[in-house]
Amino acid sequence: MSINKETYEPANRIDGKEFKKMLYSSLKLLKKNQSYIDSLNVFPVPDGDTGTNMYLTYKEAIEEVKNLNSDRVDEITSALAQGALMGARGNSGVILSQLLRGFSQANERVKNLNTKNLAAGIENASKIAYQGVLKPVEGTILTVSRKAGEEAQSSYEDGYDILGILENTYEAAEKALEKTPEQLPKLKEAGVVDAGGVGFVTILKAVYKELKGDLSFSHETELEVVETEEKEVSTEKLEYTYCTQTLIYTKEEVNNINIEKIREELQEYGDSIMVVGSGNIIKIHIHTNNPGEILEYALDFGDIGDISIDNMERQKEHKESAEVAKNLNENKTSETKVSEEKKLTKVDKDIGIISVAKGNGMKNIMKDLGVDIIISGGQSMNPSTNDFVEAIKQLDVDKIIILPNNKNIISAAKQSMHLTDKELAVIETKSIPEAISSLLVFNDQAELSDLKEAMEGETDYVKTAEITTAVKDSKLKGFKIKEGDIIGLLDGEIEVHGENYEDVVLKLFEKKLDDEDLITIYYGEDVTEEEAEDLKNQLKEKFNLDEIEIYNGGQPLYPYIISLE
Amino acid sequence: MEKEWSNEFGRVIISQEVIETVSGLAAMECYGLVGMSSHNMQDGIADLLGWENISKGIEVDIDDDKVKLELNIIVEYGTNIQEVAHNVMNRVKYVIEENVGIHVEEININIQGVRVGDVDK
Repeated sequence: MSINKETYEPANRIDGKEFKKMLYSSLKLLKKNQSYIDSLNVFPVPDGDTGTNMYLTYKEAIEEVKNLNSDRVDEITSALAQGALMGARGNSGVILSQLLRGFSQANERVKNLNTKNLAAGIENASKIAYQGVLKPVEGTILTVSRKAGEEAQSSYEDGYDILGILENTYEAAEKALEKTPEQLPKLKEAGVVDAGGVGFVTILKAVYKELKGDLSFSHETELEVVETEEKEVSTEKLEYTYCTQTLIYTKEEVNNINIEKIREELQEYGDSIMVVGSGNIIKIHIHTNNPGEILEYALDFGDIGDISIDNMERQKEHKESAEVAKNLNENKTSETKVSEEKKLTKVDKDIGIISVAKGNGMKNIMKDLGVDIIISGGQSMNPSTNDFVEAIKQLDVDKIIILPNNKNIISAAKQSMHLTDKELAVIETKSIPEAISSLLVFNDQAELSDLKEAMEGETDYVKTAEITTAVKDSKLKGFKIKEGDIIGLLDGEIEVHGENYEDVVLKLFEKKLDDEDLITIYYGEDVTEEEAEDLKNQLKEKFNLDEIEIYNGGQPLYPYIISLE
Repeated sequence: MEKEWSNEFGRVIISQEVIETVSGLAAMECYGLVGMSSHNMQDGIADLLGWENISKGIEVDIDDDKVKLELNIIVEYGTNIQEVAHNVMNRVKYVIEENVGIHVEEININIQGVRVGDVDK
């Protein structure tokens, strides 16, 4: 063990204040590693955002701790578990919430965290987490948590102090994490470790390093609340003005029946109703015109607390003026549409179109093709369901089609269907070229279901080639790809790799060009017009192609996106 | 009932049981789901089904092009049930569409029970 002997005194207990500090640090480190963890996803799951899901879940948990007026460890851990339960997102988020629940169970009636409870907590966390799955798969966060739990327990039995237990546990977890590729072939093939496991180790690492004093996050700047939720943007007069939230500390145990009852009874007071609860707490969120009545109502069930009432009308005005001011300062030419877009977008059509793109050129091309609202996003920057819901609200039509343009965004787009009264169809476009060719058959008068079929049919005739840079070493389909290599994908599958963009395009064409004769090149922000022009000429010559068009797409990350028809 | 399609060489038929089994296996990979319950509910007992007949908890309804699934599941106490159900929907739909190549029109989840795993606590 490498502990600084001079300043170090063995500590067998730590108080709630110190414990909280450790937790806050772990959230920060998790946030820092969020996109890295996202990038480790190898499992073919629709929403492969392990890092994001874990971070958001953990953020809810920490938020709960921050709202807690107590430095008792049992209350802190139970707040953690409570917050994680309510905020759980995705598979990894649910696992994390169970881990925290397990940790909390072992710390009932504990004022200061001692070695015994710490070890028991880590062990129980894993035990509880294992119960939540029918057939535990080894080589995942579960394995890592089990090894951590075993080590924590044996370190405690060997008489280590808190720091020692944490150090050994962290090291054991890290070791277990490194072994995950041996246990799961999928990980090995991709040359990565388990993403959820990294999230778990990250938390352990931060907790340990914070206690040791190795981690220097500034604590003055309390973690910023990311304002993604209550984003009210339309300029319509809001039906309900006040966003009202309160906690109710109920006299009796909460059960589903009374939550359901509250939810129903609140209907008459406003909308956007959310009622959740467990243990002895119910949380109410509602948009209403009479916050007082809500509080009166809540009082019937018990004590209330943590009340927040926001005037959304004013928030909106404030946001809009801030938005306008920001635009004036920032960029006068192209980006003034941000403030325009925040208003209710009037459309002279029966069917509105929402699409997703990155890069000004791409956005302009989309606008020209009739897209009404373009949500900024794409690979590695997936818009949330909420972004879609906002865009849907903004559009002044009752029928809307959405083009997600990325396979990871399709599910978020589809989710928004359940959150609106408007008639909605998601055209399952997986790339920009697919979107562009499907837009060519757009017919404003068609029924949405027919339109969806026609537009999706169109995407079958397009192949999409994308050139990008590998972000990590990996092995796929027998290729060994190093970080920084240029790779060429056709319809999402890696086909070729090489040293520079143009080479890879040529290789890809050589390998995959069938009888397509209409080629459109959208070059990204990393490529100049001359380079694109040069590539066009090379392609023309080599493959005897007459029709090649080039556009400045301006998209980041992908120097070339090429459509082949 | 089964799902079929054909090309120039012949037909491919996918039996209902295949869809049931694949859905079941996909669902079980989801964290928080600890069992399936038989949909044969005349006797009103939600029994925890074992590994081997996992597909019994799943109803598949094939109507021309449309495939609808109904899953009767049991979740672990203490998990966010809504989120687990949401994960199950996503996972099953994804796996069926990706592995079997069938578009899934609808997935309904019935939470038939909650298991308390940590009874000794």
